[in-house]
Amino acid sequence: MREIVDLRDKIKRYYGFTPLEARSIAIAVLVTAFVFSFKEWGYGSAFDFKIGFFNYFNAILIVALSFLVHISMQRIWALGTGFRLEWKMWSFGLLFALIMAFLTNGFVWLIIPGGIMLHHMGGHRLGWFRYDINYWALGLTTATGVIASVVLVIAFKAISVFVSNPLIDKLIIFNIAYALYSLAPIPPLDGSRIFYGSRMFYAFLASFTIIVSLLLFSGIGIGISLLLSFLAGIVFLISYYILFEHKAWRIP
Amino acid sequence: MADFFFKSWVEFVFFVLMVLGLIVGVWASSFSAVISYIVVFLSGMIGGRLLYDRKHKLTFPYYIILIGFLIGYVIGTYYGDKRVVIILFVLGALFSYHLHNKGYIRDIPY
Repeated sequence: MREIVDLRDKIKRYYGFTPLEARSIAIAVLVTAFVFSFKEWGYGSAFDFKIGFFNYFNAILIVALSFLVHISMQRIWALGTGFRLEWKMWSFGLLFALIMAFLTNGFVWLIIPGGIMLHHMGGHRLGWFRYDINYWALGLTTATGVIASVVLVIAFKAISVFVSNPLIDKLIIFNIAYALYSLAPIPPLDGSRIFYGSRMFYAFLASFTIIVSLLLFSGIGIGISLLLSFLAGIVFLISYYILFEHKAWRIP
Repeated sequence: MADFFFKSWVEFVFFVLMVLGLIVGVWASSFSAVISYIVVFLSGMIGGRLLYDRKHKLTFPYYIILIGFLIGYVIGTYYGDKRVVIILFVLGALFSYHLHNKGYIRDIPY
């Protein structure tokens, strides 16, 4: 109970986005939504501004919700563990995503908006094992974002059973792609932080996310998808340990 | 081999980016001249970000590298005016450099 009250207080005091962060997120949302809705500016090859703008607006809603859930989860986890999270956009990534959208006529979506930085909150970190900022804490914080995206997919997949809507389907597809892109071990994306935090954890999370995404995308039930992907993740983790990790730690 | 990359990395990256520019130029202008102009403007913005990153550091090799990309792109552009391509690349670089320099955009380098 004490921890929950403490976390609630931290969220109240430190959760807010700085003006720079809000601006960065807004730019990232606008650019990513443009990339996501690139193919939808009209019927077929005929350009129609009205339809295009409507689809762009829908894409903004989808991308904004997805980014906010992803970043908020990371932020709350960071606060819970005594850090303050700062989200920074990656202008190289956004520009590259735009170029690829134009070059492939919107066929390739690169969802690489930015990454996170942790700031140490000395007083709130007191009593924690490994007091300072460390790779594992950073990795775990970024991993919560990927997990949040997967949870969002599952939640909307469950909703889509009762309410069929193309917007929900788009949101599911976007979040699957976002979770997979986030796992790429390229700095400053989340995958690079998780990879440097723990290779074993990365092996599990990457295989789990890829398999659960594939299963959910192919229309298999949520419970079975989760169970199968969890088991597959464990199998991949053990295989990775046997084939690589334990040899990597052997003293020559 | 390592000595070559250590001493002549600028020439090597210049050549690689020239080939890349050529491919991107051909690819972009295969759609239309407008797409070609948009892509070169965005590429210029990437170049501006790169030059901003090198502010107060050694910049000359990076100018050479960017010129390499531009040469490749200009060679690859067959729809559209090559002078417009060059102007848009420079404008994109200046625009991006200005945005970063004034602090309108601040991003994560890695």
